[in-house]
Amino acid sequence: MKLIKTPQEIEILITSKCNLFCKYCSNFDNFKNIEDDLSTSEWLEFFSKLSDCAVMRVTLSGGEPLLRGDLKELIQGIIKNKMRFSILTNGSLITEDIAKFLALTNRCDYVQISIDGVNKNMHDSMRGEGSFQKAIEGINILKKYNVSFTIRVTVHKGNFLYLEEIASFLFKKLNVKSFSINSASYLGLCKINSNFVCLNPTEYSIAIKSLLKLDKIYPNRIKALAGPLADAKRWIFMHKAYLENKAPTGGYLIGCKGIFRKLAVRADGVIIPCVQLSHINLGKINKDSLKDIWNNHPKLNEMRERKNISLNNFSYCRDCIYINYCTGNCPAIAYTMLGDINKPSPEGCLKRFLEEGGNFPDEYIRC
Amino acid sequence: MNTQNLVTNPVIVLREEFDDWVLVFNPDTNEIFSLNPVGAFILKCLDGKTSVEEIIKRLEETCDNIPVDATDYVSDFIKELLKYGLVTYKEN
Ligand code: SF4
Repeated sequence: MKLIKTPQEIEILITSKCNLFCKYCSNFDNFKNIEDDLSTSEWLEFFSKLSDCAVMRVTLSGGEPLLRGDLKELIQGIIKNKMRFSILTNGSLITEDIAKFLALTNRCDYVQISIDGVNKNMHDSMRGEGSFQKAIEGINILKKYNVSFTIRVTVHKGNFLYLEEIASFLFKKLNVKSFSINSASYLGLCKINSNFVCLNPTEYSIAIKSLLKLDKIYPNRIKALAGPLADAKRWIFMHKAYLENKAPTGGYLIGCKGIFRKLAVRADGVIIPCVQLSHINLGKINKDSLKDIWNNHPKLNEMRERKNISLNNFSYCRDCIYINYCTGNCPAIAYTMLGDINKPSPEGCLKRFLEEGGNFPDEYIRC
Repeated sequence: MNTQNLVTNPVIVLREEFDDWVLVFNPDTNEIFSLNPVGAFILKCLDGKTSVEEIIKRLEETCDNIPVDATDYVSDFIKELLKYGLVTYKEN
């Protein structure tokens, strides 16, 4: 695979501060050493460097990006440098003023707001008192100004039994066109709270069953890159491929494509491969050349070479019937669970899921 | 076709991805076009000064087998660039 000359997209953790303290925040324990956010001028300088690399899109996340008092100025910097942007927010700080501003920029791809339930009990239990009401108000303001938005639902122990109600609430009450879904992963604060946040295989199986059903009822309206729906689709594919003895589509650590297309930056300006691999320091913005890092950084190249690591190297995988169709899953979770990105991640492992009592509905795996 | 009043739309971004293929991104419309090396070459020539004849002359210096009716091809291609907003009329 040829590497493109510069990254197409950059995700920027524009602040390490947040007004909420969600129990499964994937970032918070990454921020413990970051005391101050970078200044406006430092980010603006960086945006002009992104323009030199012809970067097309910037995602602003955090922390809570709307806590930055200079957010408008930063967005103007993105626009001036010929890029589009999106914002990942908890939605609680959206005002008429900011929505109007975003609409007028004409460059906002979307604002992503997290909604994890149909009412405050379900949502606030993980995200904090009052956060549901504020997020719904935020969505209504975005609608009023025609700002494109998406909803992210994170599946956890407190909502996995209510996914049908959540889908119905989002589609029928909030009239959203689609939403994306993932699940709380073993990252950030979730590592501390995993016992009462993360689903066990039996619960995960229930979530899978509901989501596959919903995916039939609302075709193409529930998006998933990770979590129970994404895993279910991948696992069904692997199981069928195994039953039909299809040509191999995996067998190597090829689970992550992000590092071939994008990079991320921490709130302290450290360039990292991905927000979930914030410990891998590739350099500092405005000091080190982004182009040089992208093309030559040994750690990044090493990560790209994971694709040559055979799953046969791992004793647990060696006798797995799915090995030829497996990608080894997310390297960030492999790192947080095993301390090594060059191993398959246990989360997302079909063999382990089945051995631990997980299952998916028969109707999806009949050949 | 008179190209001496045409310039690349200042808002667009040219991304040289690999080899000489170019992605043309318009952040205002969110459209992305992919141009082959010859298309990218022509687009880059449009600086408000260069004529179609001059573009073909430059092409001949770098490419073999330029067709005899290249002027028509290049003109049609520039009309397409204009249609999609990738080039624009120069402000006086
Ligand atoms: S054991 Fe798990 S990670 Fe290894 S090949 Fe099988 S499904 Fe993939």
